[in-house]
Amino acid sequence: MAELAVPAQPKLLIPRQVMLWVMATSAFAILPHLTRMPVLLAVGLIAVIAWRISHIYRNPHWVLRTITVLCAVFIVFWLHGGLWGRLPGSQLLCCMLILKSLELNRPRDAMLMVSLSFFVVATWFLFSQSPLTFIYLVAGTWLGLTTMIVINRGNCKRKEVRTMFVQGARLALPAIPLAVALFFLFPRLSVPLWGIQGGELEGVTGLSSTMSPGDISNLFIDDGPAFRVTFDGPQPTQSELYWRGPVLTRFDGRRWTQSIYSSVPTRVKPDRDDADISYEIELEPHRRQWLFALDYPAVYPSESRLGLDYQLRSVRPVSSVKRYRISSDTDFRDNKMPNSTLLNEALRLPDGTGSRARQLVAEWQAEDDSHQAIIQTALRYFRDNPFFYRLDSLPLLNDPIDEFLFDSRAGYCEHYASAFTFLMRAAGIPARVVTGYQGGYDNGEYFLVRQSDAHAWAEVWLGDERGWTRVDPTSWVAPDRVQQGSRAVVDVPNWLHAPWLVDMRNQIDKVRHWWNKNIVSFNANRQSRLLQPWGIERIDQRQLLLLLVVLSVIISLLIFWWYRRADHVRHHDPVVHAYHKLIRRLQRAGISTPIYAGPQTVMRKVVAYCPVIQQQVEQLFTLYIQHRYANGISGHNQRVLVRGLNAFKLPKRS
Amino acid sequence: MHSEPQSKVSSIASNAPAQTTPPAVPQQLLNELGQAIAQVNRIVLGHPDAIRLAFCSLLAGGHALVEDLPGVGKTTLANALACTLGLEFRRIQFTSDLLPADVVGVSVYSQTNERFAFQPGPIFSQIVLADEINRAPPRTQSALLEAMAEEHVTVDGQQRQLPSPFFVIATQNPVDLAGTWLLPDSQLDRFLLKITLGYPSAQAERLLLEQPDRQSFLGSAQAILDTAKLQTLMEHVTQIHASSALLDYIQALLTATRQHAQINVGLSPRAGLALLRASRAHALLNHRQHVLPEDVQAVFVALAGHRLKIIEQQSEQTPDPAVIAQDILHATAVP
Repeated sequence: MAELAVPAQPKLLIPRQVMLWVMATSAFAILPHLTRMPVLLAVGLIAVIAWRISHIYRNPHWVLRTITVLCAVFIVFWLHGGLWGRLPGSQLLCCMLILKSLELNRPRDAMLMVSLSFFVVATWFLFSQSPLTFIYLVAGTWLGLTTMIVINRGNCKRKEVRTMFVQGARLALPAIPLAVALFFLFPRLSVPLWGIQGGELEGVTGLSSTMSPGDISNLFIDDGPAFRVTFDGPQPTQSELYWRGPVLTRFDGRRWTQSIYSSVPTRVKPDRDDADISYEIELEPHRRQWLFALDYPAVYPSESRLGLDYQLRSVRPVSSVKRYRISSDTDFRDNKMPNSTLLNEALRLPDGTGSRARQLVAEWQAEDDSHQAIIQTALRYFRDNPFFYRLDSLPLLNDPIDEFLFDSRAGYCEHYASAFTFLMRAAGIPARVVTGYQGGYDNGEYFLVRQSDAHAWAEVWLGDERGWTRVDPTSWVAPDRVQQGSRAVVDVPNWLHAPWLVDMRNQIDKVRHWWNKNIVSFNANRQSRLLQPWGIERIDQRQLLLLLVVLSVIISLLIFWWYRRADHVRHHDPVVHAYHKLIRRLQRAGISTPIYAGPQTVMRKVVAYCPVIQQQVEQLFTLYIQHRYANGISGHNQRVLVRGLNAFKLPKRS
Repeated sequence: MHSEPQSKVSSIASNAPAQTTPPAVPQQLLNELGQAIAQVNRIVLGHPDAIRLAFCSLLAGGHALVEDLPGVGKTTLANALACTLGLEFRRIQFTSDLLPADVVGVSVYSQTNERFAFQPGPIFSQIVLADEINRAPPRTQSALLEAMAEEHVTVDGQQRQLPSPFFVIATQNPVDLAGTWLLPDSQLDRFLLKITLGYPSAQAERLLLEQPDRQSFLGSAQAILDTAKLQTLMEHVTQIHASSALLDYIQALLTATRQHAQINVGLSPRAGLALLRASRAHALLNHRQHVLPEDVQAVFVALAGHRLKIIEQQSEQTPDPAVIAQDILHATAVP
């Protein structure tokens, strides 16, 4: 047989398909970040990806590349006012990952990009810890590993994509036990990481600290969860569930804002013994400080304060899922006015607006001047005139109060609450707007309150005896809203509320609930009680670390054994093992034995290298061929052969 | 390739475990086979590898496709094989107006017997040289290739058995492609091996020039083997031992062809069987009762070269399949 030629040099450039894999991996890594990125940056990154895919192997000039990178750094700096922090940091990382593709030519660049992609994928955890994020992280890791296999292989045909993914999964699977051990045992900090808990006001939907027409009706479209409630005892009826949020006192004719006094802590609190209802709330992060509770909280978490308007505020903005327990006293009366400032504020009306409304109130006052009568007349006014409860009301332009009360007469809860409060103030009754959520959905073991349950109502001051009293004008216009929930009153596209879809959303929320309860809330405290089922009350961080090391070593050994097993099956024949060792010795001695050389070829090479030992070599190799390729040799001869192969030495060349 | 030093291992091999040992080929027969190869080598100078592959193909019961320029000895090779093996030989020159009937034969009305009588075509012969097969239209090519696959032809609804052994050597000229029909891939698969001759070495060419005409050599060539002996040898080829380690190696090669970046369609399982068959024949040619990886390597390029579908490159020249087959050999480890 002719001598086989030296193998060709490996290809220096990565093929197009490998490049597409790498680009797909990087694009997947920055995908969630794109949703938080300024449009300018996002469009730029997408443009770079598109350019790279359409111009394979053609790199921009290095000057241009440098300018692009500097531009990206500048844009991030300019948009965020710095490069330090979670948001600018992750976005800078995204930029660097994508801009690296401008010089993506060789396997080295590809490997670098995939490694960086793993990191970028993981940074999303800083922003969200939902089950979806977890799935995304697993998918990103899987895709990255698969791409690494494709890079090393140098190609991947369309029909092999499946096989590649299976191989990637096989690589990732043994890491799962290690990941689980790290999750449970890696010592956790009892305080959040510095910088993570920051109060960055990013695009999170939810109530805001102000209210203008249309704010809450926009929330109605949002089906996302606001919080979940688990009641200890029997559940109150739907119409009792007024979840108190921001209380708005100041009004400028269009916009309601909070009073500066509202954050002053109240000294008069319901007594904890009077509390008649207890529940646990699992609040989705909204990056504001307020917490939600039923009126009026008697027992509330220690890291929160109750304001003068009985709004519950957390010390820190809620930037991750927060679980807290509340006990409320539903019979408590907020009738202790510390000073007249708040009352005066609750009477103040902006000048030059609502002249027709004031006139209307004057007519009512002419009939009966008592507060009770005015309130009843106002509510009847809403009931008896053609007012409509709808989302798609016309925008109110110049004088929102008058336009709503006399012209459009169609609006959502905030229009009614706002108009009602205005009328009350015009009549000299102190009144304010309370925003929050109303109702909830009974999702089996817990109550689900969605963003779409956001609501606004009014509170009026009825003297020192009755104090602040809740009046919900919406319930006079659309009683179903309060009795059956927000879904009952507004027409939305049918397909969005098909029973199966609603059911699916509720099921998905159960998964989120489980996730929040068991995974996200697994904190340092719960970690220390990890071994309770086995009788160990508390475990300190040093013991945890020790346990982690021991377990990791055991798991690593198991994984190692698992990988070796496949090898072992291949090499369990001691003859083959000894032969391969001999081949390696021959290679070290300078005899070229490429992987494709068969035993006869190797034999002839050894004989040519050292003709003196021809007989010994031929005997050894013939026996090996006999064992491996002919009809086999006896067990005794196999042992002889193994000894012979192991003892074989090349004599020194003279 | 040398034959094994049988004597040295005899002492050890004698106490081999009880395993099915293939019946040894009679030494007499092996010697005669050696003489036959030597005689063909004397007639066709300077192509020992090609001749070895031709014998390989013959013993494995496959057909050979010889692809080379005119005048390098394709016809001489076919002639020499036929003479030496003592087989009946016919040559068909394929042209663009050749019809299937010209190959398989035709029924002619006989006045004397007052009925149709079948006139067998040139295909009814033990060795058939199909010269310039790509010049004939696809219809005629198919007639020949079907006969090769099934070893019989059907004329006028009647099946007629072809002689045995039946060995086709087809030739085609790879350069002058004007007015030719390329063989489709499915039909290329009918050829066990594709053999290229190339120019002889300077030494062999000198000898060729010095010696008298090849025809005189052909005339004086003796039939060393005959049909019966050849069939015995072919029978023995099927019994050559292929160990599981060797089958591993063949499988690794097949997988490598399917995964190679530049190959569109790799080797089929049928091609895998053909590879094993050709390797067995090669082992027999080397007087061995078992197949070695070296046997597989010796026939692999000739076997895979015409079966691999290479992905067409837009920018660069499409690489030669034989070179890629060689690459695959280099990249695949012997277990």
